[in-house]
Amino acid sequence: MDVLAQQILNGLALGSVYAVFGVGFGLMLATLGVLNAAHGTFATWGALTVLYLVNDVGLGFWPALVLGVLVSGVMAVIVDFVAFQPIRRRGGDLLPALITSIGVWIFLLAAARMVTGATTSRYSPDAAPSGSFDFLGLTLGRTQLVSLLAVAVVGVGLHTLLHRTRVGAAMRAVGHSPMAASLGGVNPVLVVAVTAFLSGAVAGLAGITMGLNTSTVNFMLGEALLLKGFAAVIIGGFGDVRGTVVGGLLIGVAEVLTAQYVSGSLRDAVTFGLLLAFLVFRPRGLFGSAASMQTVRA
Amino acid sequence: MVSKLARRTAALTMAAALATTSLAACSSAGGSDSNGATKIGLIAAEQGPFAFAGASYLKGAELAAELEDVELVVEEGSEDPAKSITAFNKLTGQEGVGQVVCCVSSAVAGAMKPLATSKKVPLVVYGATTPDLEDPPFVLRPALLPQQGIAPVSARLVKELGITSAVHVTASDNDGLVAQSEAARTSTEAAGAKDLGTVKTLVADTDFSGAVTEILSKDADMVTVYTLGEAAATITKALREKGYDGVILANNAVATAPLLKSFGKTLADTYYSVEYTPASSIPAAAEFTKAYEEKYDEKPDLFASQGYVAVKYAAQGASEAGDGADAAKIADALAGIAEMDSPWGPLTFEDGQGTSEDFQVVQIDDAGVPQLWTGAGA
Amino acid sequence: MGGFWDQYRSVVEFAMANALFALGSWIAMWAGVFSMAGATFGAVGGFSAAYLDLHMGAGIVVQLLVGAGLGLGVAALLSVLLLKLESHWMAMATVALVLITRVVVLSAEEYTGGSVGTGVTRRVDLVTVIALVALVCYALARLRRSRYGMAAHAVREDAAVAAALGVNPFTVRAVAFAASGLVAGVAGVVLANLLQYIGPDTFFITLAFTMVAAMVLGGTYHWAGPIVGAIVFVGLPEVVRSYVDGVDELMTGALLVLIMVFMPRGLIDPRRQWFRRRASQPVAQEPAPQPEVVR
Repeated sequence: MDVLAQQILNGLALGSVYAVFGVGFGLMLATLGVLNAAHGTFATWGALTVLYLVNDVGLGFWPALVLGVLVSGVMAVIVDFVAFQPIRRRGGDLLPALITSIGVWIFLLAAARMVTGATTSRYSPDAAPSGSFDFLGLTLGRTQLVSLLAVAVVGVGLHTLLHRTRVGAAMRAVGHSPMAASLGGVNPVLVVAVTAFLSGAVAGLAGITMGLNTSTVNFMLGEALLLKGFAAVIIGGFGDVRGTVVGGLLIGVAEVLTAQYVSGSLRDAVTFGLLLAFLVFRPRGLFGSAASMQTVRA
Repeated sequence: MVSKLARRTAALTMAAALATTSLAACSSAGGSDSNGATKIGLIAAEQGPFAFAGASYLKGAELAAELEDVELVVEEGSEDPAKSITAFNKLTGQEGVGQVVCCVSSAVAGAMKPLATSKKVPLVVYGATTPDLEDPPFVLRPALLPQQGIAPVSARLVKELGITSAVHVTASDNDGLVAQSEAARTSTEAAGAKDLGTVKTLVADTDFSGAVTEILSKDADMVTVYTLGEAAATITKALREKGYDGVILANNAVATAPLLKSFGKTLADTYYSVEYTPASSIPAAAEFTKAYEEKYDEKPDLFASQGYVAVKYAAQGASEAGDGADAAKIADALAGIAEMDSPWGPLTFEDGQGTSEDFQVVQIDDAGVPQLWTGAGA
Repeated sequence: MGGFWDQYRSVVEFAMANALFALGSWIAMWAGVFSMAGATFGAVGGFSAAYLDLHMGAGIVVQLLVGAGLGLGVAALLSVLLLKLESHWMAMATVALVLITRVVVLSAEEYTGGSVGTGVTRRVDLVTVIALVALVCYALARLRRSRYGMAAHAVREDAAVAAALGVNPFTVRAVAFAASGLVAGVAGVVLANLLQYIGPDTFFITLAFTMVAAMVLGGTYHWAGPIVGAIVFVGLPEVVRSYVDGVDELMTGALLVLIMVFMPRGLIDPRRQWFRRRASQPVAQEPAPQPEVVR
């Protein structure tokens, strides 16, 4: 019983990383209409930035985290401008943007491999949060607490932004129809840039917390996140922040419990099996409405 | 337009290739070993997933080539099956290359094995540890299997540290690691420690929070961790962070330079068994360490010793086959080697697989530096 | 000469294997189905080839026939499940399929070797591979002007109009999807033979991305597109690498973005002036430019 509760807590902490990444990935998919194969590399570069700042520059972990998140956000804005904007202007579809995102993915992955020399490292144990404390009779690692806080901040923050503010309304409007948005007095270029920034910044935050929790930072860090985050978005119901958060947490708990009680080798089977089942039998996901399916377009 | 350019490039490249081949033919025609396959090909891993070890392998290999006076031809394979196959074909396509030294990962070694056998070019494996890889005369593995050391060392720890129970961690999708974990399990049990079970992880896992909770719930005196180095270090760190104070015996891959540097003190008090450490008590190891330090001005590591032993073995095969021997003759000579002195102590060979009985026990100290462990009494 | 071929033959071979995969994706695209499932069918072909080779010593002809048959069969089965989905969900479902393929390969250890993978005796040569590519191209060239070819094109351009003209879009798509499974199954057999070693990561997301990138890079409006795309995609890094080491992947990525931005219809575009002069009449009379809408 004790072990079960502890494993559920572990699962929630792991799932919160997937959830945070999924929120960023889903934002780009739902609002900007890009199924972005390069999104995982934003997470990787966020983590690499923190790695560099903490281990080589000697900056504290928290300021490094803020800078890492900024770097990922700016990177997403640049990528959107270079690789997605020209296609969007032409009124292109999901496919050409997916292909340019594959190009960006190859580029940023290779660049990450070059700067890391394909080696794996981790934030210096002296600087990064470590250790654990008792929490309702369970053991909670400080790194796990960071990811749980991250998902709370990102989930609540982004949901509020999208549904309670003018900027958020504009972002959703651009998602539905850029033309309608510009008629309503919204500058679509700016809104697209803000959306891309948020989507990249959130991915960066996920990458940084992933690196913290697994003590593993390498050029492949974002690739696993990409696949799991994709699953979280689809399972949760696409275009819905709450759904993605629930989807991510669900995957995390399912993975940890499968590993404990069934078999470690079925971990991915559970996640991707859920993913395919949802795609085929309930494409709207847990929370999505039928209307949100119409928003995937460039 | 494109096709014209491509044709021109192809023609140029072909001309260059022809010129090089004929030049090589001219220059070697004057030598005494015109038909001999005396060069040793090496597939390097300076890039790719094992880049952290690749540089050391190569340095160790080049030191051996210099000391044994053989020519080493290096081609990058990045420990990628497809790239390594291309590299193998490039190497064996060259004049005078009679054998190829390669392979850190078992996947790549598995890919090269049928190629070496079908091309009848001996493959000398310097790193991969999957069981039953060796297949003389064309696939030979001077590299030792870690389980040769894990069995005696884990039994010794159980006896000297008074351990009564042990739990084991493995990566269930890697045959080599499963065999190592199994060696630890059987020998700790035989030495009198109760077996509390094996926790299975996967090679691709990076999140071990679940596995660590499971290990802690068993409350064992000793944990043995046979997963890849990164994972073993991460698990060790997480166990200590969550308050585990028993004995941890881990894969010696936790002690690679980059891991020691980045994990630092969090690995304190971890034990491992290894065939080479710069502090090794074996005389031949001290000689190797000295020669390496003179050449490169840095301390060698396990990988450097593996590169060194593999090329030394390859060179011995080439010299026993004699001048003018072809790849098949070299293969027979290699398969016929029964003993060789090495930094890992005297090696014996059976079916092309090296064995040593001189494994060292190392304990990582409180500052995160590996120290030779000489026993509980010391 | 021999040295040159030994060094670059494998590059040409891998380019041709990827051309087969890209052709497989192209066949589905012909009817407007964007699919990455070629990696799954490739795995079906590849692992069945490895099994036939190791356990029965079967030759390449048997391997190719079995690979083609199984690829076709699996694709036909999956088409029932997938083709009812709206196109974007269909595309994402094929990604999910590729992710699950890896899990299946890992668990079906008896047949696939699990995480260690399995070795394969090489039984193809370059001539066979080129002949297979040529065979597929010949079939596609013949089909292009057939009733089915026209129907497929119509379904891709506008499924509703096609339906109004008496074409059943579902049937057309299902046939295209099954045929793409057949070609990808063959490609899997070829790739397994070329690599001589296949594992769970051989037929995974990188291969899926490579085949669709090669297809779109080359152009989705003519069967020559995927072949040119695959040659560029596989050959270019090799050429770059022989001049500057280490930046080949950066170049590949950047070039893919540039080509898609500046030549959105790919390298081979039947509508472009250069081709129109050489192309035969029916090709030149393709419908006027329209934004490509895959709904």
